Amino acid sequence: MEPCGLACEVVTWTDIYKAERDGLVRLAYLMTGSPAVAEDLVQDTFVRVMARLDADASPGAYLRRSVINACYSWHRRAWREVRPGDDDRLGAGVRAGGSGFRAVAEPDPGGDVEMWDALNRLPPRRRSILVMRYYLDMSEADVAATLGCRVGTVKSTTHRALADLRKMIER
Amino acid sequence: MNDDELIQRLRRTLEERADSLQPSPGHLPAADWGQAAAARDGRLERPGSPAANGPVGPFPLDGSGPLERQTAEYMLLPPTGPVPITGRARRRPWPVIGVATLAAAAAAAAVVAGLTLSGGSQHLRFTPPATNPPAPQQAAGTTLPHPGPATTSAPATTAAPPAPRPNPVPAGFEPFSVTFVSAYDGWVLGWAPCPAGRCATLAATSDAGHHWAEVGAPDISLAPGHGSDLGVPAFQVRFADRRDGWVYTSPGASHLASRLWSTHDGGTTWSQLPDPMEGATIGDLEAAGGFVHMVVYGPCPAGSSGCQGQFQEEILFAAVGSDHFVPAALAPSVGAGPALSPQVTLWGGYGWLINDNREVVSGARLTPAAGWSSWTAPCTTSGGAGYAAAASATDLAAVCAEGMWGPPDRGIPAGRNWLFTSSDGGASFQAAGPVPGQNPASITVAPGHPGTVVVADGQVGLQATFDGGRTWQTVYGDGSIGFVGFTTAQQGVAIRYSPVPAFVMTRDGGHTWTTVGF
Repeated sequence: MEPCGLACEVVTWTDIYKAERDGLVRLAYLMTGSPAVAEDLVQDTFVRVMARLDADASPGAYLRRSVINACYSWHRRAWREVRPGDDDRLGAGVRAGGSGFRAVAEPDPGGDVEMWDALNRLPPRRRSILVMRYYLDMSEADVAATLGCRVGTVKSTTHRALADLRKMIER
Repeated sequence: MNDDELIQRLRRTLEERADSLQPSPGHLPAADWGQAAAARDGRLERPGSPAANGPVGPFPLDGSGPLERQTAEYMLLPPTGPVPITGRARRRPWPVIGVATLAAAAAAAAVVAGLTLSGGSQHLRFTPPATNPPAPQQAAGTTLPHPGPATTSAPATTAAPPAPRPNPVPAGFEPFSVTFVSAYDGWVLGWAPCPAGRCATLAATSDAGHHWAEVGAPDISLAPGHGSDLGVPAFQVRFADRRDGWVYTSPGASHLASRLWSTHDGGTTWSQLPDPMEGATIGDLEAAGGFVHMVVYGPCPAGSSGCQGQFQEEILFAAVGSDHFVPAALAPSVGAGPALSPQVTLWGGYGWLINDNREVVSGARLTPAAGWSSWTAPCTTSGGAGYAAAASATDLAAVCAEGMWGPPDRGIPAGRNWLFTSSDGGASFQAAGPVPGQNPASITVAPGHPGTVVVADGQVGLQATFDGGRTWQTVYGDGSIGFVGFTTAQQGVAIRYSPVPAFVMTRDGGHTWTTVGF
C-alpha cells in the first residue's frame, strides 16, 4: 500500500459540523426568528444529510439548501395547521415567522429593531427570499432553483416583499 | 427611501442580527453516526477527533443540540383484582374506564376522590383511597424517534468523564416516564421520598445515562403512606430539546382536567399552563420537528349533537417554546367505547395518531405538507388495541392485540398479538407474523432499521426481532416493561414497573438490556 500523505486527509462530519454549523444556525435564525428553532432545524438537517451524503462529498452547499428548505417547511407547517377562523388565536410570530415566540436566548443587538420587526411580520415565502437574496447574496436563478419556482416568481416576490417592508417601516 | 436604501438597511439588519447570535454549543448529532458513515466507506475518523473518541461530555443542559427524540409514558392500569373480561390487562390512560370491571371503576374512583388540589399553589396532593387502590399492571408508551440515519456502528460507548453532580438524584427514586432528545440528553420523571410523602422528581443526564443529576420538577406530591404505584394514572415528561419540556398528569377520570406544566430552561423551573381544553384529559403529548402536539379529550357536552359516544377529542399543537397551543383542523372521531386512549408517534415533521377505544377506532396522520389529516390506522380491523412506532418517515411497525374485544382480522387467530409493518408511511400495512407474549404495552423500531423491533410486554418483559418478525427472542425477562423506545439504532430505553420501578437501557441495538441506576 502506498503512503498517501496529506492527499489522503479525510474530511469527517466532525470537521464539517465545526465549520458549517454556526453559520447555518445564523441563517436559520434569520429565516425563522427563533434561535431555538434555528438550532433544532440545523441539527435536524445534519441528521438527514449525514444519512445521505458522505463527508467528503463537500456537502456544504447541500446543507445550506437543506436548511433553507427546512426553515421554509417549518413556516408552512406553522401556517397550514391553523383552522379557518383561528388566526386570531395564533400569535403573530407563528404567522410571520417566529417573532412572537418566547425567544430563548434571542440576541438583542439593538440596531434596526424596526426593520427586524418588519421582517418578522413578512409571510414566510417573502421572508425566505429576502434572506436568500440579501443575506446569502444568492442570484435570482439560484433562489428559484432552491425553492422550485420560476425566476419571475422570485423577482415579483422580492418586489412585493420590499414593498411590504417599506410600508411597515414608513407606517 | 428608495429601493437601494431599503436594501442596504435590510442587509445591515440581517448581518447585525446574524452576528449577534451566539449559537449554543452544538455537537454532532451522534458520534457513532459519523463513525458509521466512515465505517461504511471503509475508513476511520481521524485519531483524536471527538467523533473518534466518543461523545464529548458532559453536555450542559443549555438547550443546544440534537433532536433525536424518544419519549416514554407510564400509566396505571387495572386495579388489583379481576382483570378485564378478556383475561388480559390492557394499556389504558387511566384505570377508571380502562377496565371493563365495576370493581376497577370503583377502586379508581376512590383514587380520584382522594385527589385534592391545594388552592392556587398548583400543588397536587393525593390521599389514600378508602378502598383497595389500583396497582400498576401495565404501562405503555409511544416511541418518538427523531429522524436519524441508519447505522450499524458499534454502540455509542462513551468515555465521558464523571459529570459533576451538584444535585444527586435522591435515594429511593422510582422512575415512571423517560424522554430523550439525543443519544446523550435525557430526563426521567418519577417519585422520590420527601417530607410530604413522595414528590415528583426529575433526573437529567447529558452523557447517555452514565451520570444523572436532579433538576427541578413541578410541585406534585403523594401523601405519606400512599405508594407511588398508586400515583396519577398519567404522569409523563416530554422534552423537545435541551430547554423545552413538559410534564402532565391526568388525575384519572374524564371529568377531572389534566394538568400541564412547561419548562424552558432544561427543567430547572416549571410553570403550569392553562387547561388546554376545559375539563379535558391530556391523552398524549409528543414533540418533534419544532412543534409539540397534544391530544386532549373530554366528555361530550350535554345535548351535543356533533359528539358521538362519550368523548370528543381535539389535537392541539404549539411551536416549541411558545406555550401557545392552537387546535389542528382535524377533530378525529373517537368511537363510542368507554376507554379512549390516544397514542401519538412523531418522526420529525411526520406523525401518526391512533385512537384506541377498546378497539382501534380511528387515526390521523401528520405530514409537513398537509398537517393533520384522516388516516386509516393499523389494527382497525383487529378487534383490539394497537401500538405503533416509526423507524423513519416511511417505515412503521405496529403490534395489534387481535380479537381482544371484537372479531380479529381474517385469518389471524384471536388472542394473539400480531406484527404489521408499513414501508409507505402508514398508507398500507402488511402482516408480518405473530409476536410472543400476552399483554403488549409498547413497541419500538430501531431508527433506520425497520427489521429490528422490540415489543414490551406486561408479562414477559421485552421481546425482540432482528429479522422483521420471523424470529423472536426474549431480551429482557427481569420484570414487566411498560415502555420501550430506541433513542438511536444502538441505544434504547425502557421503563420497568414491576417488581419495582426501574430504568432499563440497551447500548447494543436491543440485544441486551440492563437496569441503570441513578
